[in-house]
This record gives sequence, C-alpha cells and structure tokens, in this order.
Amino acid sequence: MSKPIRVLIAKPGLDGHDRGAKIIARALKDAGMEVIYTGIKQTPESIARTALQEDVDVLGLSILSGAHNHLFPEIMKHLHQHKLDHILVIAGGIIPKDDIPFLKEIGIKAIYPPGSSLEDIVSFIRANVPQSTND
Amino acid sequence: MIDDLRTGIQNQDERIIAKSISILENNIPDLSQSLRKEIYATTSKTYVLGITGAPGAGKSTLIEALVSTWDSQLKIGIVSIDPSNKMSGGALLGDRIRMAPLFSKPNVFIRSMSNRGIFGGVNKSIYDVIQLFSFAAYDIVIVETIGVGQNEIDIADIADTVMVVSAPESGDSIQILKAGLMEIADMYVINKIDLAGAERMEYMLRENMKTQTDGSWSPKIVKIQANQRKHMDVLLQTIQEHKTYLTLHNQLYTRRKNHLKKTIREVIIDRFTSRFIDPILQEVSFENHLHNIIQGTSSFDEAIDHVLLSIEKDVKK
Repeated sequence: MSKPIRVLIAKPGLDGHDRGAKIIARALKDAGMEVIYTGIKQTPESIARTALQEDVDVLGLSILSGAHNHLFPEIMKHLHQHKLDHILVIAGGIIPKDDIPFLKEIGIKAIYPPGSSLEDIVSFIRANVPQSTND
Repeated sequence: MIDDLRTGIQNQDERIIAKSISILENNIPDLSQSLRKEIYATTSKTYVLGITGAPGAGKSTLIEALVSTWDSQLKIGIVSIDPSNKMSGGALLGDRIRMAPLFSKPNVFIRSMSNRGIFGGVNKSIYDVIQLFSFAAYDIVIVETIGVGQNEIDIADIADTVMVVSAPESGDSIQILKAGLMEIADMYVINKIDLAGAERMEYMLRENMKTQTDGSWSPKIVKIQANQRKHMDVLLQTIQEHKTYLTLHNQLYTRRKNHLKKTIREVIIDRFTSRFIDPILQEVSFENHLHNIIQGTSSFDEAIDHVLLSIEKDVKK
C-alpha cells in the first residue's frame, strides 16, 4: 500500500486572501494527496508546530502581503528548530522575481508566481517529495 | 528504533508521537507491529470523547471552545477525521481552520486524518491512535467524525462518551434519526442557538429520545453557542456527569471491553483477508468463475463456495 503524500498549505502573515491557497489545496487533493489547510493569518511558529503534529512531507506557503522576505526565513528557522529540515517547502503568491534567489537560498525549493500551472506544481511535488520519512 | 519511539512517546515528544501516528496509519511493516505491542501493553486511563454530527453543525468550533475552557494542565489529543475523495484517494482536511486558537497551546496535539475510504476506512488505525495517546499518558482524546452514515466506524465503538452535535440551520433534524445517531448519543448538543429553529429542534429531539427507566443513563440535551462560548460551563458539567456515571456503574470497564473486542475483531478480519481471501481472488480459477458467471454458465453461489472451500484447505494446511 502506497502512503499518500501529506501536504500542509499555510498562509503566514496578515493578508486575508486565500483563494489561491484553496485552489492549490483542491488541486493537490484531486491529485491524491492529503491536504491540511489551516486558514489565514498563521504565525511562523504555529505553521511549524502544525507541520510537526501532522507529520507532513510538504509545506506550501501562500503569501500576497509582500512580507515573504521577513516571514519565510522565520518559518524556515522554526522548522529547523523542530528538526523538520526534511520537509519539502514550496511557495506561491505575489513574489517579485528579484526575491527568488534569496528565498531559494534559505531552502524554499520552488516558487510559483500567479499564472503557474497546477500540473507543474503537482509533478514537482511528486518528483521531489522526501522518500520514506517513516524509516 | 522501537526503543526511541517508546521513550519519545512516554516523554510526550510531539515529533515522535506524530511519526508514530504515521507509522500506525500507514501500517509500515514490522515497525507498526512492534509499536502496537508496546502501546497495547498499558491500561488505558485516557478519557475518549467522540464528537459527531452533520457537516456544518459546528463540531470543530465546539472543540475549540471546549478545549479552551478545559483546564490547561490537561493533556489533550484531538483527532479530526474527514472523508477522502473516492476518485483520487486524496483528502482536504480543513478542521484545523476553526481550531486555530489552539495551535499555540502546549497541552494540545491536533492530528487531521483522512478516512482513507478506498483503503478500507480509518477503523484500523483510529483504535491504535487512541491507544497511542493513552500510552503517552494523555488525559483526554477527542475524536471528531462526520456522522452522516459515511464513516465506516461507529464512533460508539471507540468513545467513552458520544456527543452528537446539530444546528438549527442544518434544519433537517430527521437526518439525525436516519443516521442512527439517536441510538448512540450520550448527549445531544444543539449549537448555534441564536438561530431560528433551535426550540423546534430541541422539541423534536426530546420526542424521539429514548427514555431509560432502569436507572441507566438518559441522554442529555445541552444548548450552546460555541463561537460565543455560551453555556460551555453546562457542556463541561454534563460531560463530567456522564464520566461520573460511567465510573459509578462500572460502564467504563464494560465499554472498553466491548471496544477491545471490536478492535481485535477488526484486526483479525483484516489479517485473515490479506492472508487467506485476497490470494484466492487473484487465482486463475477464480477468474474463470467470474467469467462463467458473466457468460451465464455458472452461478454466484458456486464462486462463493469455491472461495470458501479454498480457504478451508488453506486453513487446514
């Protein structure tokens, strides 16, 4: 029996627009993944603790507020503190091209600006999800 | 490995508990068996509260309000079960949205589970997960399920107290009757009492409630407004009353014995199926039976007899 990929879709910070996050959540569900969605306005610590308790393989961050350069490093720090460095972290939202190198440097593996294809996201996750994290 | 898991669980290490739930849920070979041996070797002192009711009744909001009201010294595990998508096997688990205020509480552990419908339901692992929390010496486990006849396990088989939640706006109280929830409820919660129809719903429930004349527990009705934390004290008090009743009447023991019996039955059926039934269904001779049924040259009963005879032979071996 294959184990379904578990994904946490989280919205850090103060923006309240979660249409994009919900569309991604639904697409991943339809692709056979178990998707946990926690709603808007999550703190970096609560995102990391949810990822910990839910034992997810993937964390998808959605952000439209422009605070990604501040919030994402915080989230990565909290993940590290919880020994969750194995989790595949990806992000989407309003993220200027110029910011992408910095975000990749802190460990975010892929960044999806508006207009990204859902198929691409699904296949990226499938190809890069950490293997057998239960061993 | 198993030693690390045991120590981690006993130390209430959230990382290890989370990993262990995955091991049990995914039935990871060898490790899940050794883990089960560990966790079932303890007497359960954990109180299990089952919460069920139609989607939109306010179960997650109620849990948030309840847990926020409860003593923060108590270790509480929450398991929220949502249905999986029959086509893809995926699931959207959104119960956490209403529980966000609990994320920062160090005494609360929340786990979202899919019922993994196409893999045969959650019934095999939910018992294990409850037992895991017991082994970790959690005081309370809350299990939330959608209770509209779609979940394969009966919440009454796992919970010490069954709470059925409904709301006036979900309107059709007949659904509660149809889903067989009247029979299993120890308490009914009418949520969203600020909405029209709450009175009528209470009346309907009272009319259909079973009445006990032999001194055993009669289901209670509690009216609340969870999002405003209204009447949460009454809810807590009613839970306490039921706990006291269970203890006084030795019901905790009886219920748990029944739960254990069902758990063991489930595990045996599961293992028996994969060891004896599934291999036979893969055989060419069974395929031939199917072919013959479709062609009209053999009957349904002949195919069943064929399987049963093959099982008997295998078992004798």
